[in-house]
Amino acid sequence: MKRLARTLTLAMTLAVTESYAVSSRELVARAVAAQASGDLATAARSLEELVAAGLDSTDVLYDLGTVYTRAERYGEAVWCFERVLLRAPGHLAARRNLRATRVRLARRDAARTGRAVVETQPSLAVQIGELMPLRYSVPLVMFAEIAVIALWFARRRSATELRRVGATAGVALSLLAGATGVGLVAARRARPPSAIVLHGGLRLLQSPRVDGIPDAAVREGERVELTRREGGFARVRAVGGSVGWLPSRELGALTE
Amino acid sequence: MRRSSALAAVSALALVALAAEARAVVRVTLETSPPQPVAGQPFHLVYTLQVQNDSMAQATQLQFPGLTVLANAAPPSTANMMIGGFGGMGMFTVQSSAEYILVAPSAGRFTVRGAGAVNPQTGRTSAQLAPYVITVQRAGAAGTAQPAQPAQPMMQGFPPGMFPPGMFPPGMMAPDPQPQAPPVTVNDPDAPPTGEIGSAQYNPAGFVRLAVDNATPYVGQQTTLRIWLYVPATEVGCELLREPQLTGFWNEQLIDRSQIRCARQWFTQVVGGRTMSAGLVRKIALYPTRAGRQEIGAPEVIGEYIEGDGFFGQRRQFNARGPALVLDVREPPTAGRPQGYVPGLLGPLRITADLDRMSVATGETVTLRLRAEGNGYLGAVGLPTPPRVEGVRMHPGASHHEVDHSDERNVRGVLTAEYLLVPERPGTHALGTLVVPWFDPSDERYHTTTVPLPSLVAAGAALTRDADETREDPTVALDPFEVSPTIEAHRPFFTSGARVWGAVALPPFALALAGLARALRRWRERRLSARDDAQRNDPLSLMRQADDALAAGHDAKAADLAGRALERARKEFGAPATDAARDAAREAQAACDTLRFGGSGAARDAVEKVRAAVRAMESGP
Repeated sequence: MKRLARTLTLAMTLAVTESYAVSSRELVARAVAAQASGDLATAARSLEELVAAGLDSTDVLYDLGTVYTRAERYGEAVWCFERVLLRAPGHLAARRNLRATRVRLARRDAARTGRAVVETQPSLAVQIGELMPLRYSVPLVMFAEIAVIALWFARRRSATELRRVGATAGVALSLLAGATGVGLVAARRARPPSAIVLHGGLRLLQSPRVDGIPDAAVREGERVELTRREGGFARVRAVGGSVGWLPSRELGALTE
Repeated sequence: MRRSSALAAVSALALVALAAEARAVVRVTLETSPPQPVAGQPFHLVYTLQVQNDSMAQATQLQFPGLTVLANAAPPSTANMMIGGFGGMGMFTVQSSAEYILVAPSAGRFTVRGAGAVNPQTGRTSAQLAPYVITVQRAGAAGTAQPAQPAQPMMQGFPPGMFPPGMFPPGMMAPDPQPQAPPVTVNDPDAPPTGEIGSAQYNPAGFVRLAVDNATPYVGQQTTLRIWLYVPATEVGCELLREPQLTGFWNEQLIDRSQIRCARQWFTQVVGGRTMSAGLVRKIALYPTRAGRQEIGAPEVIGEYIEGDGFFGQRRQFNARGPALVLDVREPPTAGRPQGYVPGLLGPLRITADLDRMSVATGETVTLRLRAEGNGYLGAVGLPTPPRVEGVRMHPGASHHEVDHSDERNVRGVLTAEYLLVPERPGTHALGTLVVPWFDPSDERYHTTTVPLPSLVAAGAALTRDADETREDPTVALDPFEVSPTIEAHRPFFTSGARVWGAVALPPFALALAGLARALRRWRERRLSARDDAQRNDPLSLMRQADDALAAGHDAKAADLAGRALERARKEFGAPATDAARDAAREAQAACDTLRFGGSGAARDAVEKVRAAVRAMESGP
C-alpha cells in the first residue's frame, strides 16, 4: 500500500513537472502572438500565469510591464519595470519603458483632472540603495577584500621599490572599492520596504478596515513606504508624508 | 412827503416781518418701515423734524406704549440740523431725523405719542403731531415675511449726491449705499439662519458668521458657503482682509466681488437682544476634493460703520474674524462601486458624443468631441477615456470646462473633452460605447450613463506599421517586446542579513583563519624545538650523542660532546661534592683538553672519563 502511494506520488510529480515545462513555453508563445496581434489582455494573462508559476525572470517581468503599459494598466506596469530595475539597474529598455509609462499615466491624469505628477524622486538613501543589487555589490566587496589581502602580501614580498609602490596603490584602490561596496550593501539593506500603488482612485484609510474613513488620495503608480502590515491591509507613508492604510491587494511590493 | 416816505418804509418793514413770521414753519413727521410691520419682527420708526426759517427747534420725546424698543435714539434737534436748501429772501429749510427700532409683541394697533417740537429758548410748542397709529400684522398673515429692510433713514431724507466725493477719509471705505432690498421670503437661502449663531463669536460691535447648507457632503458634491457680516448699523463699509482658506475644496465664487463694495444683500436680525444688520459678503460653491474632516479657514473682515444718528453719528471701525468651519466629507460607498468609477464623478450626468467629420481618408484626423453636463465639479474630475478601436489611433486632445452660475443652488459644469482619431485602415469603424459610472448623492446609489459613440468611415489605403511608429510620440514610445525571454525563476541568494554580511565577512575570516593556523604551526614548531634543545643539552643526552659519534668514528665530535656534557653537568648538578667526584671531573676535563689540543685517538678513553665524572656529579654526595 505504501509502495503504491509512493509510486503514485512520483508519477504525479513527474506529470506536473512535464506539463509545467511544456506550458511555460506555450505561455510565452501565446503571449508573443497575442501582443503582436494587439490582444493585450491575452498576452498579459499568459505572462501573469508565468509569473504566478514562479518564472518571474527579468525578461518576463519586462514583457509583462510592456503589455500592461499598452493595455493602459499603468500602475501594474510601473511595478513590473521597477522590479526589473531593482534587479538589473542597467536594463536600459526597462528604464525607457518605465519613463514612457509614467509620462502616459501623467497625461491620462492631466486629461482627467487637469493636474498630474510624472515622477517623484525618492530620498537620496533610497537612490543609493538601488544603484546596485546585492548580487553585484556583495561580490564586489568580496573581490575588493581579496584584492586588498593579496596586494598586501605582494607589497611585503616585493623586491623593488616600484613594485612596492604599485602594490600600495592597488591596496588603496581595493580599499576604496571595498568601502564603496560596503556602503552600497548597507544602503540596500537599510532601504525601507516600499511598494507601488497598482490602481487609481485610491485613498488612504484611517484604520485597517474596509469601512475605514478615507483620507488623502494616492496616485496610481506612486511609490509608497510600507511601515506595517495588519490583516489584509498595509500601513503606508505616501510621498507627501500622508500616512494611512491601503488594502494589500492594491499594492505591489518591491522586494529583492 | 417826508411823512409819506416814513410811512412807506414802516409798511415795507412790517410786510417783511410778516412774511418772515409767516414762513417760520416747523413740521414733524413719523414714518414706519415697513409700513405694515409684522408681529415679532423688528421694524423701523423714522422721526423727522423739518424747520423752515427757524433755527431753534427741538423734537419732543416719543412714547411707545406696548412696543419694545430695541434701538433708541435721541429726538432730532436743531443742534444737529443741517441746511437743506434756500429759497426767497433768506428762507432756508433744515431737517433732522432719528430712527427707532421697535418690535410689536403681537398683532394689533399701537399708538406712538408725544411727537412734536418746542422752541428750546422760549419753551413754546412750535409743532404737535397727533398720536401716530401703527397697525401690526400677524406673523405669516401676509404670506411672506417682510424683508429685513436695509434701513437707512438718513439717506432717505437727502437728495442724491448729498455725500460729496472725498467726504470719507482716505483709506476708509465709503458707506455702502445700500439699495432697497427686494422683499425676500422667509425661505431665502441667502438670509442668515435663525436660532443659534453656531460657532460665531457674538460681538455687539460686529462679528462674522459662516454657514454651509450641507455639512456632510460627498466628495465632489456642492455645498454652499455663505459669510455674513453682522454690524449694529445700517451704513457700513467693509472689506475682507483675509479670504476663507479653502484647502481641500474646488470652489466657484457666486458673488462677483467687483460688483459689490461690502455686501451683496442685507438682512436685519435680532442677535442677543440687539438688532443688527447682516450683510452677505461671500457666497461660494464648494466641492470637497477629499473625504474626511475638512476645515474652512476663518475669514477676517475690517470695516467701519456710523453709530447713532446716521449722518452726524460717530464713525466706528471694527475688525472681525470669523470662526473656522469643519465639514465631514463622505466618500461614495465602496460597496457596489462599478468598475472604472472615477472618484468625485457625481450625477446626474448628460453626455453627448459627436465627430466633426463622419467620413475621411485614412491617415486624416477626426475630432471626437465628448460633452458632459453635470455639477460644477465636473471639470476637476474628467471623463473616462473612450475605448480603443482596432485600426483607429487615438490621441487625447483639448479639454474645456465651463461653469454655469445661473442657478446658484445647483451650479452646473459643462466639460468638453476632445480626442483626435486617425483611421489607419479603410472601412467603417464602430467606435463602441462610452460607459460612465457616476454616483447620485440624492439616492446614494451608483448609476451608469452609456453613450453610443458614432461610427467613422475611412477610405483609402491602410497605413503601414512603420508609418505609425514614426509618428509616435518619442516621449511615450515603448521599447520592443522581448520575443524570446529567459524563462527562469528569480532566486536571489542574498535575501537575509546573515547571508549578505556572512559573504562580506568571508575573505577577512578566511584570512584570519589562515593567520591563526600559521601562528599555531609556528608555536608548535618553536615548542618542539625548545624541547629538542633542552633534550640535547641534557648531560646524559650529550653523552649518548658522544657515544653515537664515537660509534660513527667522529672522535673529535665525540670529544666535543663529552666536553659540553661535562659543562652542562656542572651547571645542572653544581660543583662536585665529594673528593672522588672532584677528581673524576678533573681527570675528565684533562682528558677532554688533551683530546681537544692533542688530537690523539684517545677519544674513547676521554669519553669514558667524562661519563664517570658526570655520573659522579649526578649521584651527588
